[in-house]
Amino acid sequence: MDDDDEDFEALFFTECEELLSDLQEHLDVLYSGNGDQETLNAAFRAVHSVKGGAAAFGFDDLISFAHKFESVMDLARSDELELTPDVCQVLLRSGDVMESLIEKARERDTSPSETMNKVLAELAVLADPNAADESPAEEVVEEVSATEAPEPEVEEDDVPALRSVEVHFQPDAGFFRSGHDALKLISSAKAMGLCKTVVEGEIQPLPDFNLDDCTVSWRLHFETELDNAKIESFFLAYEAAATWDILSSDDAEEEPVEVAAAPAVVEEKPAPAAPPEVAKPDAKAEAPAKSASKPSEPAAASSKKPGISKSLRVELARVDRLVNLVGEIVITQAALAQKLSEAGPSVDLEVEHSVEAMSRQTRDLQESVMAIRAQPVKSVFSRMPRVVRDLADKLGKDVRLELSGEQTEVDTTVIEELAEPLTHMLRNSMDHGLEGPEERIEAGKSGTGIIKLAAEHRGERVIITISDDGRGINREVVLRKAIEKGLVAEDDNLTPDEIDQLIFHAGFSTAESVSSVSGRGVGMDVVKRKIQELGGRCWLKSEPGLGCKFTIALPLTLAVLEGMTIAVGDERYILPLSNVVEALRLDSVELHEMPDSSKVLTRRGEYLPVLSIRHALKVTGDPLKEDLAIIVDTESDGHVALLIDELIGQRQVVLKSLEANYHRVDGVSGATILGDGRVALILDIPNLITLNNTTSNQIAEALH
Amino acid sequence: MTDQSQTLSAPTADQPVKHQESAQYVTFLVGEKTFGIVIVMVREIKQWSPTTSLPNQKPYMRGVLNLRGTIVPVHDLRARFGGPLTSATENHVVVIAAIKDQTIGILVDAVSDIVTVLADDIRPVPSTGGNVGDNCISGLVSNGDELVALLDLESMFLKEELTDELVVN
Repeated sequence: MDDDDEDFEALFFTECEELLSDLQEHLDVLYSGNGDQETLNAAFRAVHSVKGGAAAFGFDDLISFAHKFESVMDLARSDELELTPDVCQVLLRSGDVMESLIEKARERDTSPSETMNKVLAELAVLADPNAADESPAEEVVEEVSATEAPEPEVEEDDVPALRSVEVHFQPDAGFFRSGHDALKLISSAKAMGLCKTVVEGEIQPLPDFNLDDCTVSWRLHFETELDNAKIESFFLAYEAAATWDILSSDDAEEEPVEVAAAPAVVEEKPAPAAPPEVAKPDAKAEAPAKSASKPSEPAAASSKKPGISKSLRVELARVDRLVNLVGEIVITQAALAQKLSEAGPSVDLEVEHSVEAMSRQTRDLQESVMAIRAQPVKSVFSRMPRVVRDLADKLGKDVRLELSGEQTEVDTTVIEELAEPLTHMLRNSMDHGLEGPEERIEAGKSGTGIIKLAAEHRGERVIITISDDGRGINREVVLRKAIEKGLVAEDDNLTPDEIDQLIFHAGFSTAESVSSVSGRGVGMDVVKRKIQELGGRCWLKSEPGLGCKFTIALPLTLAVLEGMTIAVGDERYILPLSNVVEALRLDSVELHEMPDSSKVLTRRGEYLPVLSIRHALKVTGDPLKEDLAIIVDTESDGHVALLIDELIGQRQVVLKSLEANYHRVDGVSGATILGDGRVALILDIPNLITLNNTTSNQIAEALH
Repeated sequence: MTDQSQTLSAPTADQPVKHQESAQYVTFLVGEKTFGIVIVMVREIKQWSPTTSLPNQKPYMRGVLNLRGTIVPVHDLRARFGGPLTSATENHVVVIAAIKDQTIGILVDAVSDIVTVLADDIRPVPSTGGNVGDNCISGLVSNGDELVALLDLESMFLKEELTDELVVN
């Protein structure tokens, strides 16, 4: 397989992902009963497109499954099958199987799948009432095919020797419109023993060229050991968009004539067929000129999806490079502005205006570049229904997942990291939160549990909530476990809310029995750590008997950060603004020294631990000033006051990694470059505080 | 730094590039001592500029600097070999080197020369016992009256298993 093919294949898999997520969405709509004929058609098209692509690469399992799947959907389209919830369930499961088949195709895993066979059986049952298995789909197509060729004569030949087979392949009007590519067809047919291709008919001169009117056909000459049925099945993928005819088998006489008639073995000739590829993006523009297409032809419809926005597929690395470059420009711009302000009033007013304008433009530029990387959370949300269905089966629970706000846009970097914690939390909700059907009915709820997964923007953050209507957190059990594990003392008198938050504690799991689903004690603490690594926060609210709601707040991007620049001694640091609560002058508040020489600060009657950054990071230079305190919010230790020398300002900083050329540094989450070109470290406050606690403990231990 | 390269010991006619037999080294001074780094690893040489120190950094670390948007850690070679921290001025230089996919900076007093060293002229480091720099020096070579210690940056900074591709035996 050459590089080109691999590229095409990668593209195919990317497309499959999109198609499947579309499919999932449409099927969900159908399942909820809000679907109409158009939804069903859209779902059908998605499956059909996957099938078409799969045929070009010869993924047989996928093709045959997609075919059966399609057939059943087609029954529904022709109103021969009613879309009851049960039927929808089967369709949804078929979608899952397709997904796993695509994964297998990607990994070149050809092992049989049990689930597939099970679902195939279910599909067969659905198709059966008409006693026509898979034929309906073909029939529909055949009815509308104007140039229908006679039923291919099948000459079975069991001898495994090479046979010559000639196939006449005539694309229908909608062939190119439906995304088929004759070149691809031919190159994949080579694997089946295609040895000669002859083009028949004339290609129209360019001015008259009409995509919908294919004037050429192909004679494909095979030297193959496959029987006609195999060849037939290869062309099956094109059944909706072309007609073909297996003309002759072992007709040795005809061969030399062919060679004489068309001496050019037209390998390169299909190139004129390339216009479909080029024309695809132009489909919209050409649409008005389109000749009447057959309305019920399924494949032709796929490219006419209404309101599809033009898009460009770009490698992420390229965008990343752009993001970095823009980051540099922002820094250089800041440096320029700083130099200018240092130069004082001597600077020309016009220069100043220009620099100001540039500052605005660079900000816009940065925003636009970041917008390129923004993706709707849908790409990760759409994977969740499958997780839920898989699990619902395993747990014997009835669960409905409701998604909302899928269009909320978040930076790709964040999206990629989201799938894992979300899956974990869903599992948790399903395993621990939701009750079994009987228990639910007893409690006066509907037998089907509902989990809501929602996303929304709030300021510079995206808020994701997962709420279930299950039993809520059993505080008694949680508290008992926590005491058992020595996480809290019996007389700690925790508030109900504090007890709830205990489940985020490392090594904590309330599952009465360890199941394959969750309960290995690596549950919510992992989620919490992951979220914190992403610069986010998570918390939960539980109502006993009514359910539980997890909330995750994440930054919109991991590439820039809203930060507060502070000075300690000669050093500059950045505090993530999300941590900062307020800044205080020390002369306005009281600072008390504790017996162990640590300090506390009184703020509105509250005592806050005090941490000197100078001390914690061993900063040198400048005599000790420390007359400012920044109150920060930490997950683990509540509010803490940080002593600093100077507050420089608030700005957006571009995150740079220390790990790229060095290694992780405790207390620091990364670095950025200031206007003067110097590096400033971004402080990881929770980590810094833990670090400080251990150091002071060690010192205390060393003293005693 | 001089442009022309001078050949040590037996002169060779053709310019050797990344050859088993010979290799070019950038030599630089730290106090009285001369060190060499194989030229293919050297990316650039930069005037010293103040760095940003990291919390709990090792004694020989000078913190990080901004190399056109990339954060690069800087090591003080004098301190790395047991000496005091260099009191860096504008006359000091930072040698930027690439080790595998990492970029690091090495603070030295001055860059002196580029020399071509024949593999046969490299002498193994005599085991003196307990010297800090022992495993960081891949060999010794004499350049006139001075002794050049060839640095093995990989074992020095990456602390990974010693690969012999850079060690000219």
